Amino acid sequence: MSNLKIFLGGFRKGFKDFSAVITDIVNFVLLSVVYFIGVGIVALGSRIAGKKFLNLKSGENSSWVKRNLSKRPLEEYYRSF
Amino acid sequence: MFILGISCFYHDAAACLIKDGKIVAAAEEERFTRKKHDISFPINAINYCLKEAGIAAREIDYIVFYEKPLLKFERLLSQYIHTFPKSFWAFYKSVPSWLNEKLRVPSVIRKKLKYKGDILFIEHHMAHAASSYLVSPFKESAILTIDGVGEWATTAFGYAKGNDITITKEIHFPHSIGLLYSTVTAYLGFKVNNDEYKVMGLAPYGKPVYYDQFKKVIKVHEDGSYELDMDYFVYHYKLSMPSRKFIEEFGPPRKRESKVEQRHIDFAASVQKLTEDIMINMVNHLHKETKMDSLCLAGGVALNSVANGKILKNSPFKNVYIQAAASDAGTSLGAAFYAYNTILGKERVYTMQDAYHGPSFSLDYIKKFLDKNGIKYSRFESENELLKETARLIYENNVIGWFQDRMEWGPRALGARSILSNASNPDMKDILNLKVKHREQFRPFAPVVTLEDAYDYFEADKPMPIPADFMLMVYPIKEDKKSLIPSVTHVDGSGRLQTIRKEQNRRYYNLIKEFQKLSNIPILINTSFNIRGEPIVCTPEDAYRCMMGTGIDYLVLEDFLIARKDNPKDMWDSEKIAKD
Repeated sequence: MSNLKIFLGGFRKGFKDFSAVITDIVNFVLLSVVYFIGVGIVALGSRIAGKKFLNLKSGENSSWVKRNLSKRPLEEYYRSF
Repeated sequence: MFILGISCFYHDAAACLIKDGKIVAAAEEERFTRKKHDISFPINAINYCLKEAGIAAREIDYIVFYEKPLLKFERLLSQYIHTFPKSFWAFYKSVPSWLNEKLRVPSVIRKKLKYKGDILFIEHHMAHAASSYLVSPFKESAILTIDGVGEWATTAFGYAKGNDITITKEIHFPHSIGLLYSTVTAYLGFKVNNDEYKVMGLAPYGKPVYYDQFKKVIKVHEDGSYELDMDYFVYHYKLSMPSRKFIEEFGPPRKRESKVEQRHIDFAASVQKLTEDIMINMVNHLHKETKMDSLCLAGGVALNSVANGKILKNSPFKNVYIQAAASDAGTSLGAAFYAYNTILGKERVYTMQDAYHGPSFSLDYIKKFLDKNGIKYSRFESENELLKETARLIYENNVIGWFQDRMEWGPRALGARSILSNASNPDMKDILNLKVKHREQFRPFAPVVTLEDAYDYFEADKPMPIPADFMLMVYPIKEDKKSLIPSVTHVDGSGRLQTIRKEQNRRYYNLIKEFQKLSNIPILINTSFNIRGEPIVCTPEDAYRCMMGTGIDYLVLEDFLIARKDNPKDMWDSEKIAKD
């Protein structure tokens, strides 16, 4: 009985590890596709169009970005953006 | 009206519950899970807050999240697109957690709390600003928040009047003084988002010889803003921080646990001076724009107590306020107060004068715990006797674990979960390091001093800013007093003091006064009650375990005094599991 328990315990652990490996592989494949197709196409398109997504060099005398962020109507705070 | 503020998923997850504009409870998740800087959804902290209020989650009127997740995700996508294909690994590592929970905040909250009410989202730096201003004593104030990064902003400034806060200007990612400091932390072989204070502690031993060289890395504008040369950094597309160019410029980085050389020390001194200069430059610009007398600071960089201590002296501001949990944990508090005072327009009725907002444990609970585990103890019926005995033990150079009432909110131990010892003993720093802390020799220990005695020992601002009560200000120790408190005098003659007022914590205050009767010195060493690499203790069980795993001589658990030597069977060695 105890041998069966040990076997089942080991089997369960092995299966868990196996499923974790499969998850990693699937994640890797899917995310690679999303990255190289999705992100890649946008990146290439934006480079051709001269669009910059990050302001790495402002080259000006100030780095302040003007905002006027203050209280807004309650409804606007329900948004997560 | 109950409002719950939540911060999580980045670092220092925390929850804060307010009722009708006053704090009921606030705590960091790490204290319950025992994982330092735990980022997970703060279910334990929330459950504690609800228990303290005696309510169920359905009775909360609003839950407020400390940032706008979609804006943050937009910034991350912008990074990945801009730096394609170099950003693949950062994308691969971070996107799963975004898909699993960070983009699903409302459903995570509803599922974990079985909550059907309203959920609001506040911008990250607005939550920081609110966390300081709305619990400050000021009716109007200038505001400066500086941290690593929120959604897009890394630095924000503005002003507040009455209940309203306006952020007028921001500096956006990737330009970040917080991330520059973290890059240097990584470069010096310390842990990012954890060990920045070690860089600050190391700095006074060195000279800022790299200061001018740093000007290649960061351009500081006359209007207080700054810009990083991103060729020296890789954090905008990698999971590491300094670039190859940074290493070519400054030499090889220090390996973790290797010897700290003079070059590393000078490097720490240089970045610390740079941070101070940038902060002071920004603060002066802020004053020029707002013409206000008071300043509220927040964000992780506002934990830089050395810089904080120089602000009033080097700017026209007359008052400064920093809330006890200035870093991301504090945004849960800011989010809750912003919803109550600003969005809903309710009157401000609260000023945070102390940081005791965490769990406490009854005498019955503690007695049962001690009896159940066969722990030998003495119980003091008279508080006076307990304090006299504890003061005597400290005077005789014992190390005391001091566990009293509600746990502190924020990263500092302030006399509720503290280790106390004799500041006048020149060997005490070594004794503490040997017995308990096992930390780097360069790191100073902090003093706690009664407010009315502080000016006798420290060259502090007058009146004493409230942040000094939260151990957020460093001031020079007076020349003639340095030899009286050698264990808390840092190499540059400064001390990161905690001032204590009687109304904040009567027992703690009286203990210092009892010690003064014996030593003529109203100052103790106060360091955090924890095992190296673990969060500050929360429960009596944590405290007892900590004492028995280290060399703490006595533990004062409320009215109970426990001697380590009386309970030898439970001893173990915390160093075997220590993780820094």
